[in-house]
Amino acid sequence: MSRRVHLALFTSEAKLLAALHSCRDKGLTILDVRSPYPIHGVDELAGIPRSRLPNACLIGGVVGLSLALWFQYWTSSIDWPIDVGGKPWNSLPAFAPVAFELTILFAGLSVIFGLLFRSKLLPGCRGRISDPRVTDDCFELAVTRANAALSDAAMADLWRDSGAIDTSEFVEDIR
Amino acid sequence: MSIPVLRAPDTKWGASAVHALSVTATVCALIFVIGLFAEPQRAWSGFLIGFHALVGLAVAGPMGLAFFHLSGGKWARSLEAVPRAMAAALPAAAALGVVLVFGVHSLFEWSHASAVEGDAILEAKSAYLNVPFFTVRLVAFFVLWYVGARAVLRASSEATGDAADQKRRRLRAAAFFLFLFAPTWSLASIDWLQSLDPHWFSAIYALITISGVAVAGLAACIILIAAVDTRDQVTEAQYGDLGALLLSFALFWGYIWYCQYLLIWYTNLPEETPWYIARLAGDWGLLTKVACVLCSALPFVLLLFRKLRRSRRALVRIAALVLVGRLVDLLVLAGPPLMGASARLGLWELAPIAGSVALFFLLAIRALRRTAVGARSGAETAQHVVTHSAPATSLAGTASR
Repeated sequence: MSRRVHLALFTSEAKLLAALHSCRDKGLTILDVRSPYPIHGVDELAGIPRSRLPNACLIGGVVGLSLALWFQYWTSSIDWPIDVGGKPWNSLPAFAPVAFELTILFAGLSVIFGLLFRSKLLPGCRGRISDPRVTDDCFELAVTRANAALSDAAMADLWRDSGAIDTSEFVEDIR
Repeated sequence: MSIPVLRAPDTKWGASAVHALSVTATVCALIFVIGLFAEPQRAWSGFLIGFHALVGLAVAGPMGLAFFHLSGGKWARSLEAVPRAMAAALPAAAALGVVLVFGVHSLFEWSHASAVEGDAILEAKSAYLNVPFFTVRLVAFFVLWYVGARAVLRASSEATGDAADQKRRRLRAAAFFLFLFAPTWSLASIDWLQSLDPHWFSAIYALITISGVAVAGLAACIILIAAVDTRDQVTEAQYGDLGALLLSFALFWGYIWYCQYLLIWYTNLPEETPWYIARLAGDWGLLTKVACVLCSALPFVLLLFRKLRRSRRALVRIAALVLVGRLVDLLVLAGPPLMGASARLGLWELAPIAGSVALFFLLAIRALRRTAVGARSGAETAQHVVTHSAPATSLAGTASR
């Protein structure tokens, strides 16, 4: 099966959001919004489901915390116990700062690597970008007419009325 | 898109709460007065803790506004009537401060000449820690805070001039207030709390008390916002942002608390450890744990869940726990030198604490009632709506702007 994807490019956030609203009103399915910076709340508006990245963050944090606690316990009370200022070998207060830092580090890194992995942006990959201007000063909307009975002419009108500076379309295979 | 400014829904709002709170505050004040004759030392101990709770909640209003203005966050612009109302308790806090001067001899060891004489440390500190200078400082703090808070409040409620002009005035007032407030609060927390243990000192102490003020003030602010929001005009996203802020302040308090604990635990010096030894043994140990759980650990874990952050019911309950935790925290900070090895919490201590908290909510709710349309009030009714872009709801607005 395949579907036709329409792309439209806008010069401002306001125009993009207006176009997003009219696309929704016309029953078009919104596939993606591309913007040089995050637009607060646009995910809900475009009907894009909530990201699962926070789960990766939680798992990373828990792993970092356990690893830090275990490693400090193992080094200072099992493998090489040293008397420091008469403190007990297994001193939780002393472990806390490192445990805290490693929790943050692992949580942060797991989000970054989770994002790169999910977006197939591994080292050596070539960037696949529909229009380089969305990394600069333009906003792009990707929609499909999946369930909407909208003629090609109506589609062109829609883009013209909403002030798109550039439009294109292509057919994409979906499984 | 403009979001209506949060204000009291009608002139009847809060009437019964004001009634109940004024009865509570009056009864507690009477018990305190009786306590002054029956058990003066215990009554003054409770008074000091209650005074701190009241001052903290009152200054949290202008402090929170100053944070919002300086960080430029627009999401809370429509809610600013609430922190403004919290500042209405500042004159009452100043009045309690004047009362505190009469209790100095029942509370502070350094105020007795017999205790200072022959004690090298206290003699050296007596140039700063003496009753006349203490009184002068106390008055100066409240005068400066009042002046600063007025500037912040005026800039926050102002609706004249263009947006850039208003913003500049808000920034200037906020910077002015915080510049005054940070050093004076540091001295005030040394005067009113740290000097209860006059041989002990900690450079991070003021940061612990100010982070406590921030977390408890935001908790009180959330409770008041939810109470005044009877028409569901505060969006779910705004509650979510308040919850996220509460999470970060709770974490901040825990972080600062632990900073002091870790350094003292690590160095293990005889002039530093007695403060913690007194607070980690017996009753006090339990209360310290309760304060840490309620002010930091529990809100942190609960507020990680987006559902709880964005739900008004859950958020108010978490905020109430934080507020209780803050009172326990103040009890642990002030209690051991006043009450001895075990926490003594009877009517004489609890009445002034409960009375101060009731007085704060009474004054804040009374100030909020004046924001109702039709209520007698000054400049504030002129400002009906404020333009700002709140997340999610504003997208339609930004598009049509």
